[in-house]
Amino acid sequence: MISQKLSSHLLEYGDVKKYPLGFTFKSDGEFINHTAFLLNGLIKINIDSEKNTLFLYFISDSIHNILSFMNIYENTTIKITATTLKETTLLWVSNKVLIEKSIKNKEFRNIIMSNYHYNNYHLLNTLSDILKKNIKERLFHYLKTRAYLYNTSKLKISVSEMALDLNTTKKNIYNILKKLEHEEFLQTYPGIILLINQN
Amino acid sequence: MEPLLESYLTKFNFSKKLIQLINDEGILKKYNSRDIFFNENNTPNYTTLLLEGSLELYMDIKDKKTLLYSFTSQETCIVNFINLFGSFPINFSSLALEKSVLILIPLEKIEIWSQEFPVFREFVIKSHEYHYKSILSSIHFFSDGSIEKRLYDYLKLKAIYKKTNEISIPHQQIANDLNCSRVIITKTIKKLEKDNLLIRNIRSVTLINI
Repeated sequence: MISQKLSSHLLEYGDVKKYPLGFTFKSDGEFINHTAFLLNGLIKINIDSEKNTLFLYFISDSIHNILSFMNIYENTTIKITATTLKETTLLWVSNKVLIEKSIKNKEFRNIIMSNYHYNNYHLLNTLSDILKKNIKERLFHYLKTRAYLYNTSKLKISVSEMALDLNTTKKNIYNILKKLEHEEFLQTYPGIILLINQN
Repeated sequence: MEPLLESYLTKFNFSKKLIQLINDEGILKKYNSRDIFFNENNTPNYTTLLLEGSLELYMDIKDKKTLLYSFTSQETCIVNFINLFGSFPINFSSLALEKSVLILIPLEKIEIWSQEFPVFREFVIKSHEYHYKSILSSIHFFSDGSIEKRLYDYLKLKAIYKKTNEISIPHQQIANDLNCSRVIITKTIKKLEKDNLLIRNIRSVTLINI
């Protein structure tokens, strides 16, 4: 998390932008050579391929608040997409400024390094989940994380979004939800999932 | 001064002072082709730079090693980047694809040198960027492709690294690397042969038109 002092300092060098729920940024879009500090809101990061998308990790003001396209020194792009899950305010700072500031400011340096650590850590977590967990375990973990981030056990989420994020079919999600409901982990209502046992 | 250090590290514009510090603080390790070493378990307080050679990085899950990706000393690369951010609940190991030379550096020096030398900080960050992109590719590989595509891409990669069209790897090892069963690998190889992408030999396969 960045300090209030640093946040005020960054305001001089960055652009503050507000985004509505459901807004999508492409990593090769307008802010290709920028890094964003999330001032409030919630974002999910997905990897895109020609046909599919897959959920990777969240950026939130309570866990980790930097949105980076992992190209501070390299002018390359990676195929990730960021989507706002709440109304979100971002402070965009160019990577060039970040590098300049990091030369003199220790907090800056630490922020950049911890951001890179966070992203790699969560990417590895996603990969290990894909390799070792079945789709039922992955779906339940995904729902629990969302419940934590929204601070509620009552989730408004569509079957389509879950299917896209976990790279599976809607039918598969529907069947797993029924199974989880039968095992008394959750209850399903139209457009809503109520988690009743998060262990 | 270890001669490899100078030739390897000067290409990243490291100053003589920094190279000397790495030489003084580092511990050199040499591995032969097919040697396996555990990245973090044996050296939890160190990180490693690959000076010469090439490695495959494996994730060790439930007594199975799954191949994530390969890299050579030509890439900007810290090998065991995982303990740079603390502990991770899964172990990683590396397999030397050829004779390889690495240098272990105490973790606390990474932070100190990152502050003192901007060029070293850039090196560390670029290594993170490299691994991020490689993990993304692995996620894409394991989650998006059919087993035919994954196996064919895997064999192509092996052919490129080994510089030969004839690949000799036991089906069980391929199955471990691709996180599936040996039976599936055997069936898929037969299917790839039917699609005229490879020829099955007794203990190897030959890729066609790569």
